[in-house]
Amino acid sequence: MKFNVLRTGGSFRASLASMAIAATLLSGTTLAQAQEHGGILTISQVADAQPVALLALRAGNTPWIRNVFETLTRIDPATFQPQPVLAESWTLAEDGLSMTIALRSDVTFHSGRPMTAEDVKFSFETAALPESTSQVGFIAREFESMDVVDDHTLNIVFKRPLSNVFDFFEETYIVDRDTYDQREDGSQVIGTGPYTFAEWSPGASITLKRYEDYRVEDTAWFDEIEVAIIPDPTATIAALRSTRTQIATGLTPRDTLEFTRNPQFEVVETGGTMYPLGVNVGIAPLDNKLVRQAIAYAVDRERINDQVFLGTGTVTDLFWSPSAPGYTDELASHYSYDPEKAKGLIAEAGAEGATIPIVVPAIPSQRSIFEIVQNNLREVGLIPEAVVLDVADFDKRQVAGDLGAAFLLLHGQIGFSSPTLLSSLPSLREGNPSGFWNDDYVALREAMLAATTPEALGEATTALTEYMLDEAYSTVLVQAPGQIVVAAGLEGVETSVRGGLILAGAYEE
Amino acid sequence: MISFLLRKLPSVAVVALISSAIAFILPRLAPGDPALAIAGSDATPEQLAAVREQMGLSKPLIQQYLDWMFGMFRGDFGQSFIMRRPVTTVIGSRLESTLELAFLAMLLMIAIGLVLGVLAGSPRSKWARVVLDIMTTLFLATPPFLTGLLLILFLGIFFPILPISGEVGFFENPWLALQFLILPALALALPQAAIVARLLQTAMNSARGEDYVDLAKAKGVSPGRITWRHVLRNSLGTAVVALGLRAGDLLAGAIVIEAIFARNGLGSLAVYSVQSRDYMVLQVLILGAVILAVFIQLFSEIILAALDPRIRLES
Amino acid sequence: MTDTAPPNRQKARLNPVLSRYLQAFVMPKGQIGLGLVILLTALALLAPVLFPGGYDMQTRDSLLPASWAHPFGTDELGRDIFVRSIYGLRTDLALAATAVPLSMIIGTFLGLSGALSPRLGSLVQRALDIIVGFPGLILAICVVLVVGAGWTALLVAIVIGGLPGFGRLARATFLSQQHREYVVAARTLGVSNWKIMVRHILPNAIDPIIVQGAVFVVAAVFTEAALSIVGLGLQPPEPSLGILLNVGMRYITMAPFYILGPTLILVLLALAFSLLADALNSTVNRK
Repeated sequence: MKFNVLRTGGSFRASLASMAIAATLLSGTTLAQAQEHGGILTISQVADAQPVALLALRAGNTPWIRNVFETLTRIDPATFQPQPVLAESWTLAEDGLSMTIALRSDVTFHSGRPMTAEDVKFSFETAALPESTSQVGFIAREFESMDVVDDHTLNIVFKRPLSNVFDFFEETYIVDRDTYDQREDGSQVIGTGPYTFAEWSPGASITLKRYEDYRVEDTAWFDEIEVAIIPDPTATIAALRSTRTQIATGLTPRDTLEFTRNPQFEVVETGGTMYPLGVNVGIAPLDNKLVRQAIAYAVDRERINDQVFLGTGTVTDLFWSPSAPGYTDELASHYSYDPEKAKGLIAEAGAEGATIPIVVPAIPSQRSIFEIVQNNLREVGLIPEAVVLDVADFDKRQVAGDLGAAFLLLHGQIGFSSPTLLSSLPSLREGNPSGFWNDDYVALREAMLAATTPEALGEATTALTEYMLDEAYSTVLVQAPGQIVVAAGLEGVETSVRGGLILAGAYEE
Repeated sequence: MISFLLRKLPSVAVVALISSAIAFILPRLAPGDPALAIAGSDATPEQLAAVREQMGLSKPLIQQYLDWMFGMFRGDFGQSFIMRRPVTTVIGSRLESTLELAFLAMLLMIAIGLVLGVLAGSPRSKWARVVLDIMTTLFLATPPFLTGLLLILFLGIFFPILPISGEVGFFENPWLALQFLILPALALALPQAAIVARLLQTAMNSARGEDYVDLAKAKGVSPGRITWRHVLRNSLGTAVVALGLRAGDLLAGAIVIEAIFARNGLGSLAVYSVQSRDYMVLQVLILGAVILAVFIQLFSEIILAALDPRIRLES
Repeated sequence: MTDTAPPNRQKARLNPVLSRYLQAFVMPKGQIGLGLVILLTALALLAPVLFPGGYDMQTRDSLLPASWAHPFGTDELGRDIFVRSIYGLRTDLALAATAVPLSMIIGTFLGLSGALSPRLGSLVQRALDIIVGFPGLILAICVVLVVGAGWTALLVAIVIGGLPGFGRLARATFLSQQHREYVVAARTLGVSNWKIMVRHILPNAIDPIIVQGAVFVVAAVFTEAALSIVGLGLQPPEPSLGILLNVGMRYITMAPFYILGPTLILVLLALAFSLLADALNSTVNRK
């Protein structure tokens, strides 16, 4: 089967009906709209581009990067199944310890050079380097070897079965090995996508231009995509309303609220951030499991979702995606708001009146969450104290796993599979700020990583989740989706499972 | 004057040197790490270490400082950690926005300052005087960011007349650019205008006591003509000096104003460099501001001396 | 006998000073200023009595519009913004009441230090020049980053920010007085430099410095507000006017009163202290 993944007639009509996303990726292949294309599409993003960190997930890259770069496969946001992009097909060995990947032969970089298996190998090796800071780089470090069989065939041998290898493929863009060194100042950002990275004025804008030699002719509808960097939400909204921009990314639910009721706009939810409350199990009185459980029961998650996220989030105490194997409503609502139970647990532990310093980054949403948590903990007889850190300081301490007794974190990693999250989430990985690491935990994690079938993964996830909930060293308060606002008249906008914008199929009515 | 400048030179050099050391050290004392902006908040410790190594942050501090100082003498102000290009380019790209803002604010400051000052410095009824006085006090007392918030509320939200957030380059679309500029410039200008008005008022009041005014009155010249032709003319000198001195304040006020109106100027660049710990940009901005302030100070001493022979230039 | 003399003399010296200051309140400007200061201070002091529920009464009624029950509406967590503004005013005034006198004392001393040794004086002057040169908020931000966001950091930032203002006034007095006959005479008589500074020069500097103090109260509150707008002010949940503005900015289109309320209080505060300073200034200069 051959995949002209984007720009297909069927996909157009489906998008017209529902603006929605990539379920339509894989329909038929007639090239309907070849006429009348052109013009400039303007989108806005909040953070500046970071071409230096191409292989890591960055807010400043997410909105444009999937139009300049491509990946071997893409996970369908509806079915969570990997779909081919640069890879034509792949075969996993019986024992799950090696994979042979057949690459498309018609792919060229924007420099004109054909893409080969060597480029894929280079990209994967680079992603594994610590300085690439890829969130999924650790998966590539589980590769035993990579062999270039021929120009369009790559064979990868794993150290052990890797159920999450498609998370790695999903996030690892195939970069041009000749120019990768010159990406930092934006002068040579060379990919294989339908748009080229033409210009970058730091702090102001990025210009993408149609790649004329893209393997499928007329894939790019627009001559140019202008990415305006607008850090301020009010300005972002104003630009959208004045039709200066057609797509706005990086807005909060509060900012998008007015657009949800406006027929001139469509609000698309994609990717997102989870907000856990963690405690350090080595610091009294939090070394007592009962106190940790009491805190988890004391927090009113529903109110956080309603008042901070205006009801757009998912109220859950789990890190996993609600569609992940082993995720059940029962587990997700294990710690539903129960101040009486919390009081009882605290009394049982003899921790009434204990002071709990809580580290909070100076981010508005976190501050609001903290105020609710503080109010909740006061109700059950604890004395919470805010330790507000500016973001740079907070990040540094999060990396070092040194955040004190209790902390409110945020992880923009919604969309990864559960086995990946185990190692990519600062809250869960080795060296987590909770100081939680023991043999039981390691064994349960290993079981989850070793699972190769959805059923096995589900069982392992349930076992680990029950253990994590019982230990209550870090529980999620809410999972909130990222939101993208798209102006009416712009069709075919798609998003990746991690919130990236895919504009290859976008066109103007 | 030349000898005055020459005498001042060593102390200016010392101030610049000390400021450079402070500008270098102070940001680095703050916890945090510029490598984090590259490595990301969910990096692992070894990823962060690798990035630090690549960025040259593992070098000893004193060497980093000397590199920077010697670089500046060669015209190389260093490379932004985050944006990966020369600091001068980064600053240059933000300069236009702040200059446009400061320039319009300056114009508004002159216009409003003159009008208020002349009104207050001319004969008025008691109540008009009290109203004018309270108005000037109010403008004087309200800092740009509060004025800015009030302007946003009244002209942007209750009566949505002007855009409240963002900007357009003046050379791109002058008319639209002006719409974006007017509110922040007004917010910046009002307190400064009040200062100018105050000085002008004082100068006019004292000029009114001079003999030539009495003479003009005796000759039957109309009060309006006296105000415009005689009093104002002889009071403008003070106001001009005040205008020059306030230019520095305009730039300083730009930091919060740019934050409130979401403009991408030097002020927001400074805040962003603080947040991302882009020391290389921050230290140049701080040093530049200190040196600018020193020169404005010198300049004002010279002008004051030129205007008033009783003041002698002393070090 | 001898121990009754000093109080008498001091009384005799104090009284005219006091009555001179009191004259400021004869003017309408001074009356309005003083009235507002008293009103705002009383509100701040009595906040716990007037609003015994405190500033953190969270409810499910988020972002209600302004009404009689909630003059400025409610915030995102359903708390009354008017109550929070008054508590915020309390926070800000407490901060100013601590920081301003501190900055005043240290700044004056630094400004007068030329009386101890001319070299020290010019050295201090240079140092103050450097502080002046720092773009206002950046200096404060750096202090906050080094010390860590919170009350202490704000205090330090405000005190340092005020030093050049007080220092310059004091130094100006020192420069104008140092060659006066009485100072020269005292010096030839062998009076110690310290004594000359405190007994002879300081009294001459007091007037402008008190006026500057009133002006600086406003500057102190604005430093807090500006830092909070950038996100590095005080810590929750204790509200300050700056924190209210910071959070309110995010709801400016949905709930404009969230910003308008605290802004009005800040404007009143600024107006009050500026009028007061103005009135004091004109009486003091009249002599």
